[in-house]
Amino acid sequence: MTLIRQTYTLLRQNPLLSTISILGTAFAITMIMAIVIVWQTKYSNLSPEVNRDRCLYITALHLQGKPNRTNNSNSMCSASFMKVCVMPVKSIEACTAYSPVSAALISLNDGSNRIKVDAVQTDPGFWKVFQFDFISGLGFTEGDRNDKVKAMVITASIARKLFGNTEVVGQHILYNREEVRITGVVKDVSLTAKDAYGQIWIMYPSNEYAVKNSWNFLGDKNIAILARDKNDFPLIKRGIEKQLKDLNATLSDAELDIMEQPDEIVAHVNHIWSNIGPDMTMIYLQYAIALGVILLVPSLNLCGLSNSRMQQRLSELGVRKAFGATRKVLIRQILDENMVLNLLGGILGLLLSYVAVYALRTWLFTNNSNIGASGDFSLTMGALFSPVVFLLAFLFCFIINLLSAGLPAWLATRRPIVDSLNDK
Amino acid sequence: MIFSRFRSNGWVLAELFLVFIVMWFLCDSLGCLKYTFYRPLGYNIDHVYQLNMITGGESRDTSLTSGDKYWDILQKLKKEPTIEAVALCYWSLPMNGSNSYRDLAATDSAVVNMRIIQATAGYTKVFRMGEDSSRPFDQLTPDLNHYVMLTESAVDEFHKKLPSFSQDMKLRWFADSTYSVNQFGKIASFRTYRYGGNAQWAFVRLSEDMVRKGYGDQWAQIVFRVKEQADGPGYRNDFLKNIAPKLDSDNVFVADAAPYTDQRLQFEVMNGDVDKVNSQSVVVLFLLVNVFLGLIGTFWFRTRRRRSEIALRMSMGSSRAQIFRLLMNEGLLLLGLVTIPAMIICYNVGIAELSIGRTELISTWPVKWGFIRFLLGSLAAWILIALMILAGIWFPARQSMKIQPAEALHEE
Repeated sequence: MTLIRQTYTLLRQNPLLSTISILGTAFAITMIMAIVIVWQTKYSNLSPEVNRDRCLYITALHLQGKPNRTNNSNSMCSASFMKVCVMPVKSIEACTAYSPVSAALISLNDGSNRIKVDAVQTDPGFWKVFQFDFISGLGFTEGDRNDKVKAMVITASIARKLFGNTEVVGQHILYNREEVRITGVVKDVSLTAKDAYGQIWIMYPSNEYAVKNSWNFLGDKNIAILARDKNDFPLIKRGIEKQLKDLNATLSDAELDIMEQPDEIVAHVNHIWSNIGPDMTMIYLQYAIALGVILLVPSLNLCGLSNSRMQQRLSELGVRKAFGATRKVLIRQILDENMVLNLLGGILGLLLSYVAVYALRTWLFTNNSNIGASGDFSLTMGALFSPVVFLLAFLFCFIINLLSAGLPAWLATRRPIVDSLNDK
Repeated sequence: MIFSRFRSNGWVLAELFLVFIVMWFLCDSLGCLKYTFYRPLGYNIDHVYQLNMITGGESRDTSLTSGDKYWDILQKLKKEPTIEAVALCYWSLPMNGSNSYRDLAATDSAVVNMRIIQATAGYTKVFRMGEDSSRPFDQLTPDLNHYVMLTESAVDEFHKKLPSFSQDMKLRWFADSTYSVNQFGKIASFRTYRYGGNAQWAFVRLSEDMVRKGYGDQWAQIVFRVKEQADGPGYRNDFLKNIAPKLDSDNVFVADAAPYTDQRLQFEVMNGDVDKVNSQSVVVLFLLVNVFLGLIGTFWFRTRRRRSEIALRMSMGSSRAQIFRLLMNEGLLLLGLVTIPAMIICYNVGIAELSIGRTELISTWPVKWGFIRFLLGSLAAWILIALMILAGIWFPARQSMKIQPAEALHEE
């Protein structure tokens, strides 16, 4: 209580200084928390990608001709590659091959209500690896396999655009002029979900598992592998390596290679091209440097201001020391007073970071999969208000407080009492 | 005096030092990016659209190949009165990640790796690429293996490796001596995309026969240029309503005609250039705001503490304007103290050619490292920080101008 009253008095004594302290902290916290929120949205477990920390991904395949080794092809994988190299591995829980979104035209059976949608070709494993929120019906299973009338799942907003309601399970519609059957309706997915986003999901036909020649293993699909537990990752990687080695032994005219894959979630999100993996060292270093600069520069700022303020209070500190206050107590008190300013700045900064992330969401969350897609960049409450976010905000406030008030406080309380009292 | 300045201004100096180094790095990077961005591209995508074709439903004539259907669409498109030029190609679009590369050799040591463009005759007209009027692309013999048209940068690259290189020389596909490759004509120099360097490409022309029979079920890309007078914001919708239905070929139909600027944006996002420019700009802004706040705070205290000194100066004859300038100059002096040491560090980082992971710290492509580049970066950083310093000192300096000497000295 007294602390608050003291701080209030302090704020009123030095309005400009307090404003600068609060603003300085606020801007730093805005930048840092924006980075944290974006990190959470991209890499932590959020619906429907609730298993990001348990998933491995293969998105690029390199094929080299034999014996002409100058013939190299790089592209995504095919379903047949998954069937041969991933499915047989015993330590996995589930796997799926899914294409990036591409534009498709759907309409009612009579051709009316034509809508352009973002379509994904995938298989039953998709609904095991990702947890979608089904409003009605279910994801397709092997039982729904029918190459003449393919199974399809659509989002609620598309169902409403087509039929006016979401009770559409079992209905047949046209997808690129082919007849398809709806097996389930899901809640709309945000564009921030790199792998799970789509507006319709079609079960690709069984001939995608066929292998006519070595080049059939190249295709247009990403592969996601769900492990039972993170600790199974090395086991799964070894399993896939073995399957690939066995496969290569049977191929006489080509050799397949998955480079440094399978990727975990962070490498996967940054893996853009098929022929070259992400430069993870640079990515992590950039984050570290950004964090360092954003913490250090305002702290140096605030250090200077704290120092100046300390000069003003030297006599006060001198008196208190004369009455028996130890250095530790004095430093604690200075840090605490400052902490209130930093916390105020932190709260302001956190709020501003929400505004900033929302306003800049298109730039922040556009990635190589969703550019040009039609959905919404809606942000999940889970990413914005998670306990991790609040904890980190508080932690960074504390660090700024320590950096910006700690050293000046320590320096100021070193001075002998007599000097402090004499100072004017 | 300078030394005493160091003591009383330690924190501000440390901050300015750190900020200068980071600002130089960012100004250098942003400057290079923007310089590359504004250099002439060498080709033009205004009024260019890409067809989005979908294969769906049963085929009514299974004897038709995908190539047949694409060729059919291409010809129908060509006849449209609003369309100036059309082209079909296989994984050969500019500003697109789908590509193929091959090595061409003049001699065993003069080998250049180049992107191979496999396109029909209209390609250079659609993208308005410069070509020799006596040897244009549409007269290149259509042959995947024997006839190519090189870009000017590819020719220059060959010249660098082989001074006696001429366009009459026959080339070879590296590691494959079966084919003797003839050169025909040259495409005027152009860059791969707005943030890219010169394109070293080799063009191969596709004939009707090659498209119909040579590519199986592969997806082709069709691009077209709309006449300038006919293009407008409503063109895309008009196209989809009126022209697209006419283009159906068996089970291949047209879902969309996207302006090529969409493809350009996609490519620039995927390459990370958009992200780099945006995040670096944000950090520059952040640093400048911090300098501003820091300087306001520091000089506010300083003018308060030095009231008596300022009052004395005023009573000794300094005008108010001179006081104002005095403070401004002090701020710039602070900056001056850190500039030289910071520049020394920046220069050393620049010439050290450090790499982190696989990426160069100071990128030397497409703008080479040079002393002028270093100076310009330093100048930009200096000017930006100086502006912020002046802005930050302005208010406290104005306050100090209002000091009444008699009153201030009386307080003492």
